[in-house]
Amino acid sequence: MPSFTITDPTVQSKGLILGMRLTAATMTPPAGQPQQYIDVRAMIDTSASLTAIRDDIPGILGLNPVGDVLISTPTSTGVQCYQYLVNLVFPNNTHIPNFTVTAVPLQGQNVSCLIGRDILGQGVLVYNGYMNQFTLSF
Amino acid sequence: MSPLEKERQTYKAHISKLLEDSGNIGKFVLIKDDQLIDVFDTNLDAIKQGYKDFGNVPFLVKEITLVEPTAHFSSNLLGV
Repeated sequence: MPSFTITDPTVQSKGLILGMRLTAATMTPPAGQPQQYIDVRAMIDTSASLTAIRDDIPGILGLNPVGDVLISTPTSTGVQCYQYLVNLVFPNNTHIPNFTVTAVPLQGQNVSCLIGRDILGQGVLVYNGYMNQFTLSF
Repeated sequence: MSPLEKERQTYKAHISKLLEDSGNIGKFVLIKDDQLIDVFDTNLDAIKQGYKDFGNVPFLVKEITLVEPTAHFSSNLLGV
């Protein structure tokens, strides 16, 4: 079972943060000369029902929306957000290809991607608090 | 007009008809402009067909449901 483990002394204070790569989905036809990939800081967010990316990233990757979804946050309900198809590459080269993500405003945050329960539902997440460590397996 | 605005209107115009067939519920419809292209079993099948037919341009793939579901983000990281 492919997996990766992150050990970080700030995991309790800052959250379950990891570096990962987003690329245009394998099946996406090229549009112009977009950037092939973007490396981002992501946070595993068990309070997010869907995986989300910062809303300027689709433009960087040359992606157009393939759907939309209504989202609810602590301060807003029924906000319409666009969805895009991407490949997610986790540490240890663990891939999730052709996955639909939602573009949301994350400006000003220290992360550009939230890994939600739609991805976590495909694997096993182990948070070992006293070791400042977490492992995600698919 | 924002991307997918026309497709959203098309979805609203056709959703009652789509729901008349209970077999459509939970499936995914592919819409481009004012055209309802087809209904698919999975989200990915519909997106694949959209890319095949139209290329890398905006199109709408939406689940056929009685009530449009809402995704929840309980943390306050989002700027909305």
